[in-house]
Order: sequence, then structure tokens, then C-alpha cells
Amino acid sequence: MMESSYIKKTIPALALIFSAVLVLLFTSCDSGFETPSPLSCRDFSIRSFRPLLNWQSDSVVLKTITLDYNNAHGGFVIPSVRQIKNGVFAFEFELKNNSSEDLYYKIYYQNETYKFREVDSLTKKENPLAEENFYGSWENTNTLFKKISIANDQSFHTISDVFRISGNPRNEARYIQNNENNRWQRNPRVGNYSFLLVVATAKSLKNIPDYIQNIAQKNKEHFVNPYFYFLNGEGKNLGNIVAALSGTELKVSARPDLGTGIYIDEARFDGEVDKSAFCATCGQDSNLYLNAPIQQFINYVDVSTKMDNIPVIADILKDNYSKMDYNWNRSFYSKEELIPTILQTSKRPCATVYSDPKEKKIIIKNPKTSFGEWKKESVGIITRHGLTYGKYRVKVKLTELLNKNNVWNGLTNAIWLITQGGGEWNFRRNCNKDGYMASYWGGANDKRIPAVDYSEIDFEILKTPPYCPNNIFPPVFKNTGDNPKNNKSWNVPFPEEITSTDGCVTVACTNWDMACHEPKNFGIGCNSIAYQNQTFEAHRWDQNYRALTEKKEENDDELFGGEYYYFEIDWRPSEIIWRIGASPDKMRAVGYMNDQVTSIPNNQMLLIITQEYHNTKWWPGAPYSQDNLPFPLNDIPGEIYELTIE
Amino acid sequence: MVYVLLILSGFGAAFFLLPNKHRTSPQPSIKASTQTTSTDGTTLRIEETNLFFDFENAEELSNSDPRENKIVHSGKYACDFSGGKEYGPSVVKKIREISSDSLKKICMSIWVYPLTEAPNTVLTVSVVNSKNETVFWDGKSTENGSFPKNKWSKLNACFLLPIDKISPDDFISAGIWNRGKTAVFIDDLEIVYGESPERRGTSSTIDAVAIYEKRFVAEKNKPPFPVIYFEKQEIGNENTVSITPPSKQAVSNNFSPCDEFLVGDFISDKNKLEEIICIKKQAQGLFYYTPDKKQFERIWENTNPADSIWNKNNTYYAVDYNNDGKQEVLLVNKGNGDWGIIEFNGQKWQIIKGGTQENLNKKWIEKTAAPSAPVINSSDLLFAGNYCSTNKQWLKLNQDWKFDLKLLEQDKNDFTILGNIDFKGYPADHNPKYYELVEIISGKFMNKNRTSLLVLMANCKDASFIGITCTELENLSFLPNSTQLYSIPE
Repeated sequence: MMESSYIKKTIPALALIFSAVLVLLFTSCDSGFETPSPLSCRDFSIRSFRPLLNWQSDSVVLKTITLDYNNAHGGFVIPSVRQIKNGVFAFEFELKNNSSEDLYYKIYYQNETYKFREVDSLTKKENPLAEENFYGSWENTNTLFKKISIANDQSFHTISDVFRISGNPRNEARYIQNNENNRWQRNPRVGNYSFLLVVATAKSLKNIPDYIQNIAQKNKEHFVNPYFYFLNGEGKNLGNIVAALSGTELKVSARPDLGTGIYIDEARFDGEVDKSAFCATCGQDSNLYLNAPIQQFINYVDVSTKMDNIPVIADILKDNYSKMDYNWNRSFYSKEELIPTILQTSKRPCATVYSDPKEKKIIIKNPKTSFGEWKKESVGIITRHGLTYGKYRVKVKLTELLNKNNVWNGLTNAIWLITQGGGEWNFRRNCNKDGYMASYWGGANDKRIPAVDYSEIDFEILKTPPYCPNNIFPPVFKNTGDNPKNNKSWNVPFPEEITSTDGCVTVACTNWDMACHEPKNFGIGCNSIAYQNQTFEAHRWDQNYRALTEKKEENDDELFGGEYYYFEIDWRPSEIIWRIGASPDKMRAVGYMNDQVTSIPNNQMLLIITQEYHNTKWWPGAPYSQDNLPFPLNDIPGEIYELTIE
Repeated sequence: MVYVLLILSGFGAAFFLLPNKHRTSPQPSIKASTQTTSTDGTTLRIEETNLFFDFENAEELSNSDPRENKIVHSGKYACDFSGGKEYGPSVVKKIREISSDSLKKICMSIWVYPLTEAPNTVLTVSVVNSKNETVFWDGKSTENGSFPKNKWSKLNACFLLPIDKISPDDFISAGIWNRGKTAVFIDDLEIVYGESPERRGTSSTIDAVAIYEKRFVAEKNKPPFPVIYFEKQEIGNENTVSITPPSKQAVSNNFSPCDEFLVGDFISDKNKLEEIICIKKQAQGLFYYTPDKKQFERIWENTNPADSIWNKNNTYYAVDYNNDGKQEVLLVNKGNGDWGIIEFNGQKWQIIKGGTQENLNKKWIEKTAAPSAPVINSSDLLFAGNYCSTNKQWLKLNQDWKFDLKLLEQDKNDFTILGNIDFKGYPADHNPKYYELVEIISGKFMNKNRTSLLVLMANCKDASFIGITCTELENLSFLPNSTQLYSIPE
């Protein structure tokens, strides 16, 4: 069905004129943008390429569609059968044959928003990275150019056909395991898609290389982007070939319904799963398995990172907990009184995450604790469908981090992307200078390897000072004593560099580049990077440190004290922009990195939203130490209202 | 304490510029530290490890006077590095005087005000051994930092010291080097030696995995203990030291931890509530709680300093000598043991009985004797009462170190620690346990079946205060001296 074509002779005149405007044509005998006239070669003419005929007929230049998460576990298809009957886009073009030869055509599509330019601006040759672009054609890559037999009757004939956008469009072996094509391992990207129609005669077709006719094939171990070939490369100069780039684009975005439910993946929990908190919108039933876009996230817990916590249970946010409380508790508990603590994750799935089908939101909560239980439990959710690139924007009301005395509650609000894992199929592009550090968790002596599947892009928001500029780092904290008969000994104020931003939390923006040295301006220490009239200070501890971080101090009340706030990770092929704002039209950049300073991941990732307890030893200079902060007396909720990826 | 800042002259130039192994240091004259704070096993002088120099005191500078008073970060003076001056103040201390342990780290900060672009001012630290050899040198410069012209900016630096190369008799020098010789002003030098001491005690014996796996079982009378909260009760005194509303001021109303108190049901009435007598040198007063008004009121006061009963020569006990349910005051002369019993008749105290040391009924006093048990230390103060139970309970206050108040329940001769006591409902940071001087008075002031705590809180101005006597109280704005009433809600 999808690869069939059929011919219709008449097209209404008005539609003809209209659609001709929307076709950008490139041919070896004629080319131009938005030409109203047909594109002609010696042997044929084409006009009125209309790629999305059966979708949003009232839209012309930009049509939109959202990813259908229903039963999308095997990969997204655009459109789905729920969006368009038969689940295919219909396309048409008109063709006039001036010869007696058969003609051939093929449709290509390409994601334009998240692509590398096809032409290297320096060499003017094909950009080697353009092979990574998400382009495709008919799903069966063995379907090459399709034959059309129409008479040389001086008339335009309408050619109709169908296609759809789906994962692994080149049917790469990398994503095929056990004879199964796991198209979900290279899902269609969000963003705008363009459509390219190529028509050739039987004779000219022979000049088109096999690796262009069949996009599954490679040329010298590399795929060749057909857009480059026909629009900028050798294909541009071949005779009797017309390449028509449609003026219609399709904007694909993802807006998963957060009220659909939360799936529980047993593999993320230790031992036998406690199902006592399962409910209709959280659990493991087949409906949730097939359709839930979200599952509960369980943080990695390193049981060796034990801390001795003060034996205090308090509600820092509500109990007027003060700096003096913090100081006293820091100084006046003996070691015997401390609680050896391992930061925890939920052992009872669904108990701390809740999907609200009515309000289409997700509620997470760090659970309260009690004497004898003493736990600091992180909570979070993760998406289930991996994507490469995209502007991930969330509308959330995560917990406030500081109370009215500006004491930190010990939590880190995190909105982050993490590798979908999987090993080889999800490897990042090779690091061509020294390789990547082999593992996420290893030390500085970890071996280096050419490719890894680990990637992570973070918003981590907590109370910790910036590392840059380094003239005020590290903060100089006075020593504290434990003489109760002299409150100056223990009630020691923080230094000015901390108190001057007392009501602020730090928005830490991090890209885990696994210490790949390939970027031209790879650096350590503090290094400036400019973006849109702003200068950001990126920091890396040393040559083997796996992450590059930028920090910006922001008002806690603004980010988490209102009804909601937006956080956005704009992950692009050659840059990452972190933005926050009160509304989508008021987003401001708080972090920026590009491929000159860090290796931008190109593998498939998932989005996580968490309220986490961190060991503050990870955050040098943090004024509050996690072990000197109380266990939570009450649940600490966070709400997730929207997730948009576009 | 006065620390001597050395202004390094030409000698200092050689000191900074020579390669490490040739560097030498002047042997400074340093005033020895004066006060120490002891912790278990470690002697660490907190006051000596946090130094701050604001250049306000000319005596802080031992050499030429580089101060100026035009451009300052705080106070009236800053350190002037104009005119190509290269070497600034340096603090030299013998490591042994900072810590008996290894000194692993030193942190410093200064505020810098450059009059030109691109200043190069360096925070330096060096260690010189007894042979005058420099065993360590490091520095952090403003160079390449964010130090805009004509603006105060801070420079922080922390240096890890090579503990295997330095000894307690070595000298550590922390100073300022204006390497670029550009015009800068420096103010507010801060030096922090080492790190805060470890907590007291030995490691917790609790098994983290047992907690993680929810197998934890508390051991009797061993920490950690649950926290039991006493909640602040409104007594209309606007959180002042006065036991009564401040509008009803009188000498005896202002309670202080330095005063003496006696609690008992001294008034013949039906409510069976206990009253409190405040015994000051200048005055004495009898106060009772009125449930309707939720206030204490004074029913009697004596301001006659020559009064023969209420004076420092007597020791006072609340006793019920005739077992009528009402209490009287037994006063025993500290010198000769003569005693008397006085009773309050609604208006004044009357002597109703008396005698000599020989015929004093010791049982009157023994009734208030403290129990003995393994969980009770000799330095504990005990307060009997019914704090949250009809069973006999005790509050145990130990202030050998911190304010450590525990609730105990007595079962025959056995005592169980029910929990640590903390407080709720107090204004701002005015938790009783944060005060340097705390007096607790327990009594059934509000409810005949429940014991409350009257808590008197103050800070002490005495530099040598160690928790026993205070010659001058200090009313801190963030922690004002106060009298508060607490009880455990029913």
C-alpha cells in the first residue's frame, strides 16, 4: 500500500497554480525556488508537488503534527493510523512526458531543524556529518525509484503515492538485532521536515549511484545524504533529472499526555516488586505498557556513599528552620547520635509518583520519614521513548529549595536528558582525539575508548556557589566550634560571597561529554563562551573530567515559588542552550555550549525530572552539607504539567 | 588578642622571588594565643583559626603605616598599595599555635580595589622550617580574574598544605604581594587555618543497612532518641525577661538565670496550681499563673533588702510539713543550721514554726532528693514531674557540653530515656538551647496534672564564661534574653 502509486490525469486549474507556488525545484535543466511554472527537462516536465495531501488541507507552508505515543513502543510513525487512515501521507505531483521513455521518481524527506548543513562551508564539499541527518524515503529501502509509464500526450498526468516517516529509515544494521528492525532505536526527530521529489528518465537513472537510489547503502563506509547529492552534489549536474523541494514543511512535535499513566519497569527495582501502590494510572498493565509515555525513575544509588546524618526530622520549608538551627545541629550532635544514611530511592513503585488523568499532570513527592526509618528518598520520572535532539520544554512546579530564612532543604531539582543506553546501537559519534572516558562513574584513570553510549545533559538546581569567576571560589568559610557557652563559636555566619545571593539557588547546566578532547576549544578551569550578547562561564575540573558545567544563580522564589515555571533544554546538533522563563515566550538563556568547547551528544536520550538528594561532596563550596540537614518531616511534592519536545 | 602584621620590606622581596628551596622567612615575634576551646582528644583553637583584619587598628600593623581612609571596603581604613608598593601585610604564626594536629589547609580572602586595569595582587602562603628553609609556597593572583577598575572585588584562595613536609614548629606566613606594583587598595583580610574540628565522640554503632532494610530496632537508653517537643505557651510577656506582661514592671518580675527560684503550691486555693517565688538580691516576688488571662501575676513582693527571711544567708525549700496538700517554705540558715517554716497567708509570709539544726526534720528535705541510676550522671540536673504522662517522669538536664535535656520515665528503680527534648513555637531563633545561660524551672503552673517548664534564657558577656557564673549578661539583638513557658500539649 505504502509504495504503490497511481496516475490521475486531471487536476483543477486553481489547485495547480496554487501548488506550483509551493514547489522549490532543482533540476539539471532548470532550477529555481517557488517557480510557478513547471520544471522541465528535455524529456519531461513536473509541477505541483504536494507532499502532505491528506493532512491539514487548510495549511499550506507549514503543517504540524504531534507524535502519537499510543502503542509507540516499537518506534514513532508519522502519521500514525490514529492520525490518518492507513497511517500514511499521500503525495502528488503532475508529470508530462515529452518522450516515449518510462520515467522514474522517488520521494525523500529530511529533518531540517536538527541537521548538519549538507555542504561544508569551508571545503564546499559534502559535510561528513550530514550523513547523521535524519532523512529517509519509503520504508522499504529496496524500493528504489518507482517506474511511471505515461504517454507522450503533451498533457500533465497526476501521480499519486504515499509514504510515512518512521525510525531507522536507512534500515541500518546497527539498529537490527535478532532479525528485528528496532526502529525505535533511531526514532524520527522532532522539528521541521522537508520533502524532496526526484524524477528521472530510465537513462538518467542509471547515472544515479546505487547508494542514492537505495539509502540503506553506503559509499566508502559512509552514507551519502541524497539532499546533498541532488541539491549540491553530482546529482545536481546530471541531465534529465528534476529534484523538486517542496515549499511545504511538516513540523513534528511531541506533547505526551502526562495523564495517560506511569509505567513501572521492574528492571529498575531491586528484587521482587512491591505492587501494593499500583493503581489504574500507575503500574504494569498492558495498557500502561503500550501507551504510557512516562515511567518511574529510580536514581542510581551508590551504597558506598554513606553519610552520617544528624538525627533530626524537620520540615525545613514549613517549620521556620533557620541558619541558627542549621548551625546548632551541625555542631552539637556527637558521632554516636548520627544516623548512618544511604540516600534512597523508592522500594514501592507508584507510592511516590502519580499520574492525574483529569488534569493531565504528574505529581511526584519525596516521602516524609519518621524515627527509625530516617530516609532521604529521591523521586522522579523518565520518558520511555528516546529521541535525538529537540527543544525539551517542561512546565513544572517543583519544590521550593529554600525556605523563608533561605535555608536549603537539601534537594536538587533536576530536569535532564540521559542516554537511552543500549550499548553499540546507541553509541555517540566517535571521539577522534584521545577517545571518551570509558565509563560514567570511573575515575580519572579510566581507560579511553573511541565510542560510548553514555550521554547526559542536565539542569541541576540546588544551593551551591558558582565555580566561576574563580576569584571568589572556593568560598572561605570560617571554622566552627562546639562551645555552647559562646554562641559565636558555633553560630558562624556564611561568607559574603554566599550571603550576597542568599535567596538564590544555582542553576547548573551540564553536558557530559565524557572528556572527549576533540572540540577545538576544549578547556579546563573557567572559560568564557558568548551567546546572544551574553557571556557564560564554562567550568571543567581537569582534562579527564567528564562534564562541562555552567552555573547561574537565580531567585528560588521565582523559579519554584510561583504556580509554575518553564525549563528548556534546546539540544541541537552543534550546540546546547539551556533556558528558563515564566512562559514560553519569555524564556531566557542561562547556559550555552557548542561543539567548539564540548562534544555534543548525537545518540538517543530520554528526559528525566527528579527531586533528588545529593551528597554535597559532589558540589564543592556548597554552604549546606547534606549530612547536616534534617530528614523530611513531610512529603515534598513537585508537579509536572507539560512536556513539549519540538 | 593582637596579631602582628608584618610589612615585608626589601627582605620580603627576596623572600617571595627566590625559588622555593632558597626562600627564607624572618623569625617574627608573635603573641601567643590566649584562649582555647577543647574538644575530645583534639585541641583546636577556633578563635585562633579564624582571623580577620580590617586595618582599623593601627596596632595591627607592625611597620610603616600603609593605611588610608578614602577608599575603604569596611570601616574607616584600608591598606594602601599605591605608589608602586609591592609588599603588604603578612601574618606569621607557628603552626603549633594554630593546631596540635597537622595543618592541612589554609584559606584566605581580601577585598581589592584597583585604580588601574589588570591588577596583579597575590594572596600568598609559605611555610618555613626551623632551618629557615621554605618548604612550601603558593599564591593566587588577581591576574586574569574579574577585578574591574575602581570597584571592590573579592579574592579568595585556599591552599592545601603538604602535611608530610611541614612540622608543628614551622612558621606559616599568609600575606599579600602586590606583584604588579599597580595602585590598589586592600581591605578586610581574612585567614582561616585548617578546618572545623570533627564532631565529638566515636562513630555511631547503628547499621546503615539495617535502616535501609527497615530492620532497625532502637536499643534502650542508647542514641539516637526520638525528639519530644515542648511547645511555647503564651504568657503575654512579649517574650521579654519579665514573667508578667511588661506593663506590670517591677524589680522581681524580671527573671534571670542568675536568680533563685522556689516552686510550690503556696496559696490556699482550689486550683492546686503551683506558684513560683523569685528570690533576687534586691527583691522577692510570688507569682501565679491565671488560666483565664493566660498570664502570670504577682501576688506579693518584698523590696526590703534588710529583710531577715529573704536573704543570701538562707537556703530555701518548698515543703509540706503538715501534709495538708499546701506547701510552705522551709528556710535553713546556711551558717548555723537554724531553720524556720513560713507560710503565705494571702498577703504576707508568716513564720509558723522554727528550730535549730538538731531538730530539723530531714524528711522534709529528702523528699526532693534526686534518684540514682546508670543513666543519671552526677552533673545532671533532674526535674520531677508529669510532663506527658501520669506516671512519674523526670527531665534530665546535662550541660557538661551542650544543652542536653532528656525525658525519663521511672519504673520502680529503672529509668527509660523516652527522648531528647526540643522546643517549638518560640519566636525567631529563640530556642532555649541556643542560649549560653539557661535556667529551667519546672512546675504545675498551668495544669495541676501537667508539669510545665519556665525557661529563663540569657547570654553572657564575660569573655571567660564557661557556664557556671556570669558577671554580666548580654542582650543580643538576634537572641534576646527572655523568659518563656513551655509544656507538652495533651
